[in-house]
Order: sequence, then structure tokens, then C-alpha cells
Amino acid sequence: MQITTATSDAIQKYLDLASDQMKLTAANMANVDTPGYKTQGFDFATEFSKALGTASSGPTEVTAAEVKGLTARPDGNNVSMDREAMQLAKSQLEFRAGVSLLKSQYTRVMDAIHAESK
Amino acid sequence: MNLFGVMDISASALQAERVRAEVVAANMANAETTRTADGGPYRRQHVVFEASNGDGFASTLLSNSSEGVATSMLGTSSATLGLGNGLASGLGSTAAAGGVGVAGIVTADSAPLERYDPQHPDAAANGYVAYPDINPLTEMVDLMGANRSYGLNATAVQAEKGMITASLEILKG
Amino acid sequence: MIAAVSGIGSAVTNVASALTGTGSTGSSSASSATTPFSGVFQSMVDQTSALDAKATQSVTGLLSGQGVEVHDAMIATEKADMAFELALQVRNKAVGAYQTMMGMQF
Repeated sequence: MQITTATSDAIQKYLDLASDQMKLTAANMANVDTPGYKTQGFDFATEFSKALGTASSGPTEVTAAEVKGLTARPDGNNVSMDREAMQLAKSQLEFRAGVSLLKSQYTRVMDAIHAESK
Repeated sequence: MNLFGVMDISASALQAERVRAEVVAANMANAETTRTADGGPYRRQHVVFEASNGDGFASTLLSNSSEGVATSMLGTSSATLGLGNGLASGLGSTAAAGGVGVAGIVTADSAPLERYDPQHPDAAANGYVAYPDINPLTEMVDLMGANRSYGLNATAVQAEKGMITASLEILKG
Repeated sequence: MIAAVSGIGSAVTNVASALTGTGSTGSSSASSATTPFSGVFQSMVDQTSALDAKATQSVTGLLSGQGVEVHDAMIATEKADMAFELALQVRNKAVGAYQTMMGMQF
């Protein structure tokens, strides 16, 4: 018996990655004034395809690396406030979209289960 | 670390920026103070931030456990806070891993401004009074920076709250 | 909830055995060879119990501050709920079918 679809498992991983993205963005934002701090990030698309390929019930491990291409200020800090603010908005919306999609999947399964008892 | 832990990261930033604003306020309030308990004029202070890394934030933080139990990253770091100043003594010693902490409040050792005023009670033998080397414009820019960073992290807290609330929708309906 | 699920499981196994006329009770896996439906249903019950245990573990991890993600605990709970609903509906249908059969006049 399979209670969840492949799509809902994929969406769960998507939600995990969106919240990982949020964690990194929050850490980057917290350190916007720390001298010498380098922005941490990861490539969402790569990590997502990696997560889809692994077994379904393992934890979603993401390794964060330094983001390239950002200019550093004189004190060594290269956090761009605009980039982080955009990442914040993006992860929040990605998460909300994932939750909506997941809900629709579950609603469909529940409707199928209750199909004749209405 | 889950989203509740992320709120601790943003909270550490809010606290650190607030300390920074308080130091700026102290500098501006004492811009003309020629006499302190240690003798000599007031000396300009500024904060030094450091990232609190815990056990290696970047690599191990993000392993969360979907259905099992993950080890918590909270409280594993102890940012070194060399605090010799009452302003920052309430910060505590465990900052959230990935967040920011105040490493210390440093006294600038620039030479004080000398102004010629022999009538002043604190005048030295040569008639010069030592004033603090505090430029109000510098302090205002610092305060604006603290304000902007504070606002940014407050927005982050709102966003994190929004995400947790959105995840409650999964069980509704 | 696991006790309720096992209760459903043994009830349906009894129904299934009565339907096929083996007359054997108990829900051991040995009966799955002779009564296919009870075998299927037994595996459903087992999976529901497993999902329920995972959900409990996940929620406990969240509540005790051990770092389980909120949405992961929610998803685990929802999966367990859906599995339970499914098992419950299957049980209702099976009992209904049994009663239909019993009501037949020959």
C-alpha cells in the first residue's frame, strides 16, 4: 500500500530545501555586518535533483558553500543585503507554494478514500 | 535545527545590532565629556561582531531529519564575549550557531581633540582641554547602518514566522 | 491509536476467515497464504502502525526541541492519518460485505 504519491514525496524534499535555503539566508542576514564573513549558499536545482535521486525517507543533507561572484567590502564582508532580501522572499514563497501543492495532493488521496461514504 | 532555531539566529542579530546602536548612543551622548572616572576625556567605543560558528555551521547545520531526530545545533557554540562594559553584559554566552555575537566593545585609541580654553576647569597646564574625538556624522552613519540591519533581520523574523504558519496549513482541512 | 488499528486488523481477519470458511482465527502470517484478503489487510495494518510510530517519533522530536522540522512532523502526521483512514474504510467495506453475505437467503 502506498499512501503517498511520488509527487508528494518530491514536494516534501522541496519543502526541506526551501527551509534550508531560509536558514542560510537568515544566517547571512544576521552576519551582514560581521567583518570577514562570506555569504553561504547552495544551488537549489542541483540539490533538488540530488535529493530526488536518493532514498525517500532519509534526511535531506545539504552542504553549503561560499557563494561566488559577490564583491567584498573593505572589512571583508561580502553579504549583499539585496540578494539576501530577495532570497528571503523567494524561499518564503517557494515554501508556501510547496505547502499548497502538498495539500492538494493529500486532499485528492483523502477524497479517494472517502469516495463512497459521502 | 529547525525553523524555530532559525528564529534564534535572527534574534541574535537583532540583539547584536541593538548593542551597536546603544554604543553609538553612548558615544553621541558623551561627545563633549572631558572628565571620566578613569581621568581624561571620554574615549570613543565601537563594537566588534563575530559570526558564531558552533560545530561548523555551514557543513553540519543543514542536516535535518525528516522523520527521525536530528541533533540540535542550538547552544553548542559559545561566542567569546570579552565584555568589560555594562552595556553588553546581558548578552549571555551561548549564541545560536550561524548567528552573530558581539565579540567585544573596543575603545578606540585615537588621540583626543585638543581645544585651547584656559578657563575650563579641566584645562591642562598648557591651557588645552582634551575633548573626545567623536564625529557626529560618523556616529549617525553607524546608527543608520545599525537601523538598516535591524530592520532587515526583523523582516527575516517575519518571514520565518510566515513559513512556520504556512506549514501549519498542511494539517488543515 | 495502534491498539485501535490492531483491533480493526483482527476483526477483519476474522471476517475474512469466516468468508472463506477456513474457520481459523488469529492474524498470523500463516493464514495469509490461504486467505489473501486478510494477508493484504494485515500488511496494511502493519504499515499503518509503522507510519503511526514514525509520526509519533517525529512529533516528539519537534516538541522536545531536537530539531525536527515543523513541516516534516506535519507531513508524517498527515501520512499516518491517511493510512488510518484508508484502513478504516477498508474495514468498513469488508464488514459491510460480510453482513450482506450473511443476509442472503439460500
